[in-house]
Amino acid sequence: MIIRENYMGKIGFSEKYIRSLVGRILCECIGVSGLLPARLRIGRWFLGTGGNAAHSDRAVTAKVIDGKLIIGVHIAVVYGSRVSAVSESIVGKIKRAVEERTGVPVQKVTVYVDGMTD
Amino acid sequence: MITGKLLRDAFVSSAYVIAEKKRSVDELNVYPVPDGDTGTNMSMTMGNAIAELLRMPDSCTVSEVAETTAACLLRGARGNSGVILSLLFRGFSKGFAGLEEADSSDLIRALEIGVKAAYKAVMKPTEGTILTVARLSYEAVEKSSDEPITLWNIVVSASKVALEDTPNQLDVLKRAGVVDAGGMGLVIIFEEMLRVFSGGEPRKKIEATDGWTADGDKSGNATFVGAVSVQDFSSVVGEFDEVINFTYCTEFIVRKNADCPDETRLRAFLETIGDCVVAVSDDDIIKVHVHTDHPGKAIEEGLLFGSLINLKIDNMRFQHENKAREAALVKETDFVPATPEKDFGFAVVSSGRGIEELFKNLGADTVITGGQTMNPSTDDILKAILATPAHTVFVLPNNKNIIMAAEQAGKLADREVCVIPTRFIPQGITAMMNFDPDADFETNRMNMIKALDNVRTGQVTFAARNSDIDGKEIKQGEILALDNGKMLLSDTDINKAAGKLIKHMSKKDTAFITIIYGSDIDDEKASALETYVKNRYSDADVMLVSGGQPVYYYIISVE
Repeated sequence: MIIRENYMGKIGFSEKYIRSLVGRILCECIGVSGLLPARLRIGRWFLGTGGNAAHSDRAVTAKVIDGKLIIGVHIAVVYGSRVSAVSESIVGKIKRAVEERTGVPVQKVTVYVDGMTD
Repeated sequence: MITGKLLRDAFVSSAYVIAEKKRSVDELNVYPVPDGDTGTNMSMTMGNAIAELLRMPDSCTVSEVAETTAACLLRGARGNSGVILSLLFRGFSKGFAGLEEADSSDLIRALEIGVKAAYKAVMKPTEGTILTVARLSYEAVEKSSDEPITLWNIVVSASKVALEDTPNQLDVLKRAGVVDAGGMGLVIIFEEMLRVFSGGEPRKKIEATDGWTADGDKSGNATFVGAVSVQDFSSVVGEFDEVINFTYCTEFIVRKNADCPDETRLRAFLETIGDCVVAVSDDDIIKVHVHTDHPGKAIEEGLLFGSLINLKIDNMRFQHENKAREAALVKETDFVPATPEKDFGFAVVSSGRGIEELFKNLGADTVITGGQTMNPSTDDILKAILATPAHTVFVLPNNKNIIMAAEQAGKLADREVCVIPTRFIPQGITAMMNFDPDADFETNRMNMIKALDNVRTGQVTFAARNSDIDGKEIKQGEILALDNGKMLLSDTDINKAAGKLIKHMSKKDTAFITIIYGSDIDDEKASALETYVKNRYSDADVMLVSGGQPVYYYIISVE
């Protein structure tokens, strides 16, 4: 649970929520053709499931250190795209979207390119 | 048929055009965020291909052109729109593979491959973006059998229609009243390709930033053409002459006559009337720059070589004085942030001399003047944060209306900022008392926030106007007593109201009562209240502080 405080009270975000949020954002990121499970790095488990948002949270890790979020995402990219441009765009998009929706500062987003699709 | 040369010229030309128009595409961005410079990204992505393409001979095949372009775009792709663009051009490279020239069916296939690749590159494609524009352009010609130029004409008109429709598909665009920026970029590229396909003269450079003739670069277009505009040029020269020997900085461009003598003769003459002489020429023009006391002579001499354009004469002594004055002004208002020296520091919002003193004695580094009826701005708070020489700055807003501004300011600061949501002065005092310089950040933060709950704050003030609060009718000028910000009672006498307030707030185990009296209360009246409270609550420690705050007669804390 990630706790944010303001003068009116406390707001808690579960890690599951953060992971689902990031997962959904990933589905809309340009260059991301698939997601790979963060804890099971073998096989094409739900690669190419057509952006199944219901399971997209499994491609994301989220932890909190000193009140700040550290996010890791495991993706597959499409063949023929520039991976550095795709990754930079993902980092920016996730950081912005999470901070905007939750108010919790994002310290770091790590993009793991674990696969590739045609 | 589309030949290799034609395709090459079309690609190069469209790269120049998108660079020219990047600013207007940038302006369509709905989100003002760093990776939202769609026009710039697209122009830089396309710009990568120019040098390579220009090196290709006129005899090149469409296959070679498309492959080179795709490879360059892949290496140079920037941002989302750049990635999509590179995928679309990869479609051309695949569709034209092995071909000398391309016909209509090849074009259609190239578009199809590009659009499909672009759609595959995102799991959940958002419609109303560059993707939609590309897809609808392709779908318009999917089954067409027209000859290439007519076909591309249909592509362009379909892309325009699709672009116009993007606000209806994406709500953010509609609310901002713009079309999609990436889609706009694509339409610009397609349009320029059509112009070249139908026999238009391909662009050779970015027109608006032609270094010699542009009157400054208002549109911000100079990207990959290494030209220097007139204004850039003079500022570079100007940087190096600190001592002004001559008054007038004179610049102009000579359009050479047919029988124009060598420009070294012009330079030789200029050397005799001034310094900082520049006279450089190409086939058509001579660019002239000189510092002289006689600009007329320089111009007369220039006329012997040809006609003059873009004349500019500045009085440098006058400019220098103005600049010096501006610099002095800037220096006065220039704010220098303090360099962090210690781990923790405090920036505190307070009003009243006495309370400021109190906070300073408790260890506050900076005090921002403000409070009820005079809330400091985010900028004021930010300056105070920056003036605090600490790595981590705790901000005590001491007013519920300032907490938000303080949080805003915290986001803008270059150092770690933590806003402790103190709503009243006594809460701020308590928070500072609970600060332990040896403890770590998290412990301190929790301790301070927890301590806030233990303080009860009473305020005695006056009614600013007639009103009705919680069913109680209040007349203007009446004395009001507030308990933790909530209206408790009204009275006509200040000390009586304060007495009732303390009675209401104190419990059996009350240990401390602090009374901070404001600027409108004299010492006599304050000590009368102190004596009264001391007699009544003999078990509690009663402290009287001269706060000097406006608006509130008394601020009372009970612990």
